[in-house]
Formats: sequence, structure tokens, C-alpha cells
Amino acid sequence: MEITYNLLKEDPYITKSREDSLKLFNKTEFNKIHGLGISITKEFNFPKIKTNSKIEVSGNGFEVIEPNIEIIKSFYDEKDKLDLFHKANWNGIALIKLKNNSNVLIKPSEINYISIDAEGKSNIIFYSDKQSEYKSYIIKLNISNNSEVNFAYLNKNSNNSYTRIYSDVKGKLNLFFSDLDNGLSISKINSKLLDDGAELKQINILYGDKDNQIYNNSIVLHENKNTRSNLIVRGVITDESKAIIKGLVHIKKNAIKSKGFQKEDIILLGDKAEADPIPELHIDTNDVECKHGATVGRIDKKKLFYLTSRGISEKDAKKLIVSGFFDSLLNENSFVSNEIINNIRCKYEY
Amino acid sequence: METLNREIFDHKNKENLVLKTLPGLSDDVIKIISEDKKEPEWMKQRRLEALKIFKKLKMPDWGPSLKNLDLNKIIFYTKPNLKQNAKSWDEVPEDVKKTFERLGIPQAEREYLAGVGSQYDSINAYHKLKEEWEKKGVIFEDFDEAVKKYPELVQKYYMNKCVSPNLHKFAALHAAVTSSGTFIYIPKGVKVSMPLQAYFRMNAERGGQFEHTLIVVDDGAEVSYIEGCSSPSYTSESLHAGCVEIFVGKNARARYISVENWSKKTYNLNTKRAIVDENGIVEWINCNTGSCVTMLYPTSVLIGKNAKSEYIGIAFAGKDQHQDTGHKSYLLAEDTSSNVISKSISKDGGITAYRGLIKIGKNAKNAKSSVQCDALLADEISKSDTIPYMNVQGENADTSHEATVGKISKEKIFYLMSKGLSKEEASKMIVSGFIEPVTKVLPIEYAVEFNKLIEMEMEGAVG
Repeated sequence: MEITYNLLKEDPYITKSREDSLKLFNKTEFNKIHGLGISITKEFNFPKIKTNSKIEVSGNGFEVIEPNIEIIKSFYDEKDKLDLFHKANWNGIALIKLKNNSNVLIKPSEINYISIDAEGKSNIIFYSDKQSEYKSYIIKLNISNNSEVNFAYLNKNSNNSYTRIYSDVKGKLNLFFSDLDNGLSISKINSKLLDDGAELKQINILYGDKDNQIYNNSIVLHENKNTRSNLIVRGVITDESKAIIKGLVHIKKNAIKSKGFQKEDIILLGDKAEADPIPELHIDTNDVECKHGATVGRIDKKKLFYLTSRGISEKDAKKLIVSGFFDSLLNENSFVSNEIINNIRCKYEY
Repeated sequence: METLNREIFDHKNKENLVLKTLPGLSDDVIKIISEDKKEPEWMKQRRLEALKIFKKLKMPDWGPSLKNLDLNKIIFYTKPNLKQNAKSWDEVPEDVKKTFERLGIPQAEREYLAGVGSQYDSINAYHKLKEEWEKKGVIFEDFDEAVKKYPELVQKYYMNKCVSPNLHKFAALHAAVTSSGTFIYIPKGVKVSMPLQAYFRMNAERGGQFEHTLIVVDDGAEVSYIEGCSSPSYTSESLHAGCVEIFVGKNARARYISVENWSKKTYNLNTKRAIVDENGIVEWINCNTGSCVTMLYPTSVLIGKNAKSEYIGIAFAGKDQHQDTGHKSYLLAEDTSSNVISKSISKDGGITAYRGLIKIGKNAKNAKSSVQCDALLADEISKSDTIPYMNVQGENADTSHEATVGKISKEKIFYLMSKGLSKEEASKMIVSGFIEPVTKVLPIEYAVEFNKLIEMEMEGAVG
């Protein structure tokens, strides 16, 4: 089904809030993002956004809820210039409720609010492939108790992208994130593990080529006991692209018997590629198990030698190694759709 | 060694000072320091310049809170009534001697050490270097004396290439009020086989300790240097803002060991940095148990091909303590490598943090770096943070970071108790095992002292 949003029929409160946000947007400076050695130097191009747009939702076992002012207001939480731009220019909202055994594909428009309440076992694919200068998504996931939800995200065909994902996890969430933006990509993924035994498995796949600039920040808060998190970030940074990759696992005081795991692995290809991984760990109690690791490396010379000695060209050998680096993650998460996997493969295979 | 108790360190001697500046910082305070030390004009100018920088720079807005540190109340210079740089033990005043004797300094000197320099408040109390090293041209001198005796050497290396006063606010503060410390020069090819040692102690209330350690190891030379630091317990805040600069020449090797056990009202805001040339090696062994707030990030700048740095750190944080430490490595040349092992223990609500940095520059072909951090939390109210920063430019390096956080596991305690150990003994054994990578590289008397210190701090940790 298609959820069409028409600005002309908008509630005056929203129209007013857009005007206010725009004024504030024009006055606000873009908060420069810095890593240790890298600064995001690219600037966002803020285009004019189409007023009429469609969010396509297909699949089974879901229900779309009519938004009201209160729900829309609950999304309004601006932290910086990008949030203000979103608030002033958003052109679509989808509130989706999932029942047990549902499968849903969401194809969004340019600047959207998306909220998903999930129960039982559900699969959600968020797939954004429209050509657009600018894309901005604020997504809220509400994962209820006793549920097991898979959420896969992919964005491509944009020059600027901004993503915020907030997930409140009471059951189990598998979150797969990949942004294949062509220019500047900023993503912030905040998850809270709220109930006893809540679980998060998160995978971020990052690929930077040409002069891409990537900022990817994941925060996992363990708020309750027996919670588990596993955050895996893998990135290949090539050509002249740069990436700042932040991760924080925070185990709060009452989150006893919790386990937190975090791993960031980055491969750099090319002399001008640059990466700043910052994996943080904050532990406020002792009865926990926590580990994190990060590596930044190059392609293993021995592997490369082995492959080239078998008659494979250096270029192809590098591709093979990179695909091996990503494939294990892509293959073991069967909920990630083939479309998403193929898009990621396209990045490094051609 | 006798059993050690905290009283040794907490013990304060009656203040017996001949000079004490007014609290706070001003041009006048700096001039008094400089005049009292009868320094050359260039040194005074550098101090005044640094004060200007200090006023310009902001307090750090990250890391532990410094809001209880009132720099206007700190007394930046005190001079105890004792003879400076006594060459023999007999010349050292009785109360100072007593303190040092409690700390085992003279025994250690007799048995192991090539020379001892001890800083008591702001003045170096005792200094000696075995004649054989003096003959080979080794300099081991109180820093204030070195400024006068070796102005060319000091001027060449002191706070310009390695630590600049512009580095941060407390480096500027240090440059303005530097007092005493150690100057070591090891000439080309000389390998000092015995470790050199210094001991720093702050006695005056609301005092400050700003010793400068400048170590120059010329090409092919080797040295090992040990620093111990302590202060008695007072109810008001005191400040330690020392600075260590190490220059490691081509094919040279420097090992720097420090055991810092400041009182729990001391802000320990310290700066340590080494520049390492081709094939040079710098080794840091850094133990922090005392102080209320420690912000200390020893830094290795590897500028020559195949230069190496090794860092082993251990931090203990008890009640109301925040130990924010880590290592910074700049790998700027081919085949450079850096290896970091960090251990931390938190207890009674103490906070330990590993805050580190690895920067691998464009030209650092085949550079390698690895970081391994382990944190032990003794109870449910203690905290541990791990914040490693990395920046890698280009596809020519390998770097890795790993950290674990855990508790003293009940299974291990149960196992040891089933072998006949008491609960207390079992937990002590587990903690000793945890810090073993550090203690095994310390000289024996320091290892024993440090183990005892940790055992003492851990008392009653497992209930």
C-alpha cells in the first residue's frame, strides 16, 4: 500500500512548526563533526523537497495507523541543524504496527518519520533506492517483550544522507544497517535494552569510496539485568574516503549479569583513505562480561600473494578478500534481503 | 621487607619552611621562584612566557571533574629548611631522613642503585651518582642545578621539541612554576647497567609539586630510571603537575618507571612525553595508586625508522578516586611499532578509565600497534571506562585494540578455597595474577612494595 502525505491538507500546528524550524535552521550553525584526525569537511546541500510524496509499505501482517498531532509531536526532538531541516521539510510519515509472523518491506520517500511497533516474530526491510540529492530518516523501533524482530536498513542513490534510529528493545532485535550514500553520510543509531533479558545484535556495514565521508555512531545502553548486546561494525574505506566510526556500549548500574560485546574492523585501501574508529566502553557495575575490540588494517599481503600466484589479477584478488570480509556477515543473517546483499556486493565487485 | 602500611605515606612531618609564596599565580610569584633559585635570565623569561600561555588556555572540558581544584588556593612554591643537594646521607635533616627511611630509600640505594635524587617539597634533598658513571660523562643532577651547570644542554632540550607549554593548560602551568626534578644525560654509547632513581614527596598543605624530569639518551646509549612519588594526607586539595621529557637517540634505549602514590587529596595532572629516533626504544612502566584525580597520558612520538614504544600501565581507584590514564602513540615513520598493556582495578565506587590514542601517519609504512586493556571491578558500585581513539591514514599499517572488563570470579575463588586458601588469600592471589604483567617488569623492591600496596588497598574487597 502507499501512504501519501499531502502538505496542502496539513494541520496548522504542523505548518507553524515547519516555519519556526526553518527560521531556527537558518540561524543554526552545522555542528562540525570531528574524530581524532578526521573532520567532516563536506557540507550538506539542503535542496528544496517535493511536497507530495509516497511511502510504499508492502508485505503481510501489518497495520498502518493514521497519525495524529500528538504522535507527530512525539517525533519532534531536534538536536542539531539536520534535525531542524528534517522538522521543517519532512514529507512523509508512516506508523506501522506488526503482528506475529509479519514480513514488511518499506520503501520511503526523501524525508520521513517512521515508527514501527513490533510483536512476535517479524521481518522488516527498509529499502531506500530513489534518486535524491538529500535523504533524511528518523526511525523509531519499539520491540516488545517476547518478540524477535529483524530489521534491515539500506540507503543508496543519494548524495547526502542523515539517519537516526532509536530502538527501545524489550525483546530481541537484530539490526542490520548499511548506508551506501555517494557523498556525505551521517548516521546515529541509539538502542536501549529495557527489559530483563532484552537482546540486541547489530551489524553496521560501511563502504566508502571516491571522496565519501562517513560518520557512523552507535550507542547501546544496557538498562536492565541479563541484557545482551553484540555490536559489529565492518568497513572498507578506499580511494580518498574518510570514516569516523564511533561505538559506545554502556552498562548501567542495575544491569547486572549483562553481557556486552563490540567489534570494529576496518580495512583501508589506498594511500589517501583514512579512518578514525573510537569504540567506547562504560561499565558501572561489576557483575558483567564485557569485551570490545577494534582493528584497522590493510589487506593481508600473504593472502594477496597467494591469490596472485594462482593467476588472479591483483585487483580481483583484492575484491575477493574484501568480499570474504563482508560475506560471512551477509550470509549468516538470512533476514537481510538479497536485494540489500546484492547492492552491497555491487559496491566492491565492480 | 617489613609489612607496609598506609601510615608510611600518610605520615606528615611538621612544615619547616624558609620560603612559601602566596597562594595563586602571578608574575610576582614567578619572579620570586626564579630569584630564589638564582636562575639565569632565559629561564625566568620562559617562565613568564609560559604564564601568559597558561592564562590563555582553557581548562580541559573532558574527562574527570576538576571543579574542586582551586588554583587560586594552591601554594606554588615552598622551600623546606634543609640543605640543598646533600651529597651524603649524613647531611640530610633528621625528619626528612626518617621519612625516606620509612620508604626504604637508603637500603635500596645501598643495594641496587647507581644514584638517588629525592625531591622533598620543591627542593632536591639528596643526590648521589656512583663515581664510575660520572667518569663516563653520565649526568644525573637536580634539575635546578642543571639549569645553572649545563645551560646549553638544558636550553636545547627543555620544553620546546618534546613538551611545549602550548600543549595544554597544565603543561603551561608546569613551565611557569617548574621546581627541581631530575636531569639525566647519557652520552653516546654509554650503557648504564644500574637503574637511576629519584623520589618525590610533597609535605606542605595546599602545596604543589612541579618537578621536571629531563632525560636525554644519546645515540646508542641506554638507561633505566625509576621515580617514586608520595605525599601525606591533608584535608585540602593539593596539586601535582610534573613533566617528563625523554629524548631517545638512534639505537638508544630508555626505560622509565614511575610509581605514583600521591595522597587522596592530590590532583595529579601530569605530562610525560618521549621522542624516539631510528631504532630507538622507549619503555614506560606507569603505576598509579594514589590521588583523587589522575589525568596522565604518557606519549611516545616515534619519528625514526623502526622506533619502538612499549607501555605497561596499572591504575588502582578506590573510594572517591578517578584514575584517567592511557597511552598515546604517534607512529610517524616506517616500521615503527607501539605496544600497550593496561590494567586497572576499581573498588568502593572508584572510577578507572583507559583513554588512549593511536595515530598512524601517512609515511608510517608497515607500522604496527596493539593495545590490550583489562579492567577488574571489585564491587557493584565501581566503574570502568575504555575510550581508545585511533586515526589511521593510508593502507600501510596494522592496528588493533582490545579490552575486557570483569569481576573477581566466584568460580576462581571457590577453586582456590577448595585448595585450602582463605577467601582473602584467594582474592589477593587473583589480583596479584591480574597485575603480574606489570609487577614482573618492576625492579624487585618496587614489585614487592607495589604488590603490598595493592593488597592493602584490596583489603576487604571480597565479601
